[in-house]
Amino acid sequence: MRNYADKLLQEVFDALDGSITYGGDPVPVFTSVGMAKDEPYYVLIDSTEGGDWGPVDRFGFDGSLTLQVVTKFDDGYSSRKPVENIADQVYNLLAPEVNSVIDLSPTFSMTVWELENSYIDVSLVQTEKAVRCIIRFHYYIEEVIGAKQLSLLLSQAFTTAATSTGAVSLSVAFAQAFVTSAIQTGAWELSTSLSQSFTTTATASGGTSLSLGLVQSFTTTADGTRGIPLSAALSQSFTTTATSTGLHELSMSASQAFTTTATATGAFALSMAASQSYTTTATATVGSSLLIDTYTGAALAYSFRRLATAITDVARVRETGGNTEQDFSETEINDGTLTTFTGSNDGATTKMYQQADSPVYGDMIQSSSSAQPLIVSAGSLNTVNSKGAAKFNGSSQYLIDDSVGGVANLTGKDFTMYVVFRSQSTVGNNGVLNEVRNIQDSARTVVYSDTRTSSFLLSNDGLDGTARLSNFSSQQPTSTNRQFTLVKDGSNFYAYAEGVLIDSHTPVALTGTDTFFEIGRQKVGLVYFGGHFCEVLIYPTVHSPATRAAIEANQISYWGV
Amino acid sequence: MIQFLIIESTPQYTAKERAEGINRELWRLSIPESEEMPNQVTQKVFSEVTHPTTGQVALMGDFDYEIVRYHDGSMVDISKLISYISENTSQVEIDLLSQYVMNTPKFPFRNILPSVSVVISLKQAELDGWFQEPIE
Repeated sequence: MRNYADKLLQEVFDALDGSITYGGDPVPVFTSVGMAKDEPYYVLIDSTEGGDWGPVDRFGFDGSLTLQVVTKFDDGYSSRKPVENIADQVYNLLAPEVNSVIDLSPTFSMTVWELENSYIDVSLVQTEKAVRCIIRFHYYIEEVIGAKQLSLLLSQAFTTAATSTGAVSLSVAFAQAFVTSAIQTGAWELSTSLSQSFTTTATASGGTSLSLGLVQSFTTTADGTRGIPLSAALSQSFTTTATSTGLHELSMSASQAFTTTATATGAFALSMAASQSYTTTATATVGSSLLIDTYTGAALAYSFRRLATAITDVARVRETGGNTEQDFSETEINDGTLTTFTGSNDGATTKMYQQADSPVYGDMIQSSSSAQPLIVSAGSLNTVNSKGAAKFNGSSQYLIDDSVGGVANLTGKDFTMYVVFRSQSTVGNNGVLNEVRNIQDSARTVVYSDTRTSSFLLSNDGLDGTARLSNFSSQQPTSTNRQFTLVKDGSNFYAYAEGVLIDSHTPVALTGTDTFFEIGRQKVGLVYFGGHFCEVLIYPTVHSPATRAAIEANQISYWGV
Repeated sequence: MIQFLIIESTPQYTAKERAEGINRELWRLSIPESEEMPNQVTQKVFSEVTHPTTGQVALMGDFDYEIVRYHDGSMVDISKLISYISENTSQVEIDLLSQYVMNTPKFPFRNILPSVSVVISLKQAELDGWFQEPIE
């Protein structure tokens, strides 16, 4: 509790002193009666009295201030007129308007100031030698302990983490805005202590794809406006993580807004304690969760990504400077290990490893140096969706199954084939996958595109064209990542582009006898594929729509189709 | 541009043996056998094609393809390559070929083709029946 009385008396004295006159002469103002004994007229600021009340943070005083207006007469005859004149001046100077004259800020605030008596009629005492008028004001004064202090304690933790363990590739893009502000208007002190930590972590190892797109904004505001004790204690934590357990890719897009606002307006205290937590967690743990681990029974699987946990290296590459060769995993292809190996030279693909769990083919190889597709060109990784993939030149490069006769194991069987590639409009556009004779009863060529007819042929006997899927003319893939699925189900073929059925067809009889499989060439020496080849899988069975959709989605997601 | 180098048989080698030998020894210019890594896939430079009816053999590829000679020229043995191509090739030409290879770190294949070589275009190869099926 602070002493308000001295401040109050001083304010009243300042308001009156030098401002009161009678008969052209100044009327002195005193705060002690001893000082006024020789004055004929004077104003005495007599006393204050009253009590205190309220809690410690809003301590107040309720009391009265007494003033006397005194006039003295020596001749035994007194008059009320001078006292009434001076008393009116006093009243007018101390008009009962809160804070208009008597300003006790910043320590105190006067909320009530009013005349308590009728000073002319009742409180006037007249004798032969003096006339005395008592003027009493009632007041209400608040001591605002802490009112000039605005204290903000903000402790904010913001963590975004994405962790993947195993064969997972993780891509994290974070756009984060973090704003903390404290605003004070008026006469109060503002103290702000902000403790903020902000962490974004993204970790990936392995071969599954994890994609996070996070847009996060975080705002904390404390606003104190004049005369208001504002206390805000904010404890905020914000965490976003992404986890995937199982077989599939995880794609997470989180848009999160978190706002805490404390605002005080007016004459009251605002106390705010906010404890807020917001957590999103996603974790990718890939052990036995790659594509072929889930969808088993593949007869053929070649890719520049890891499709099965049993597989480590996916391709073998020759650097064209010293002509040494080395095997590479998916991670090593994409993390700079491969381009470190090649230096500024080309990286020629000599082998794509068979990743199928039930293979009827061997690895895809190219033992002729001039016919090897390039996964690195002059030191730069050739990519599809930012992932390494071999680029075929459209004129001489291809890969061939090194287990002659293996294809015959699929003769006459139903199958489901998934393929992803990116044709190059200026070169070739031919022969993505070829010479899969005997896989199906009629198809000479499983997949190739043909610039001469401006059509893209997914199934063609190569002779009379009767097996063409004519609707592919609208599917000519030029500089576009494409995913196609071909299903042979009994006597019908079904062709899907990115999961959408685009044609069906009844095949004609096959007369060919070739028993090898190629990537990048339609047939010996003639029609080659130009563009990036990503991966192909063949299952010797007809997949259900759900399975087909899941595998298609997996390919589409990984390769950015 | 894809071309065909027709390989004929000689009294010493069949056409297939010659084609395989030339193709392999061309690769040996890039990496000598003693320097070859285990499990090395690359064993030759061009594709080999056998005529479906005549049994002729050809090397097929882009003959502008550049052969990178092994960095240590002293380790390159060109004698085997010469043994496969020497038939009908003069000694003077063989000497010039050897000198060129040993002194040139990188060269297109067509620069070392013997003057007596028979090279045909892809289209001519198709017309000559090298493919069982016509180009669509």
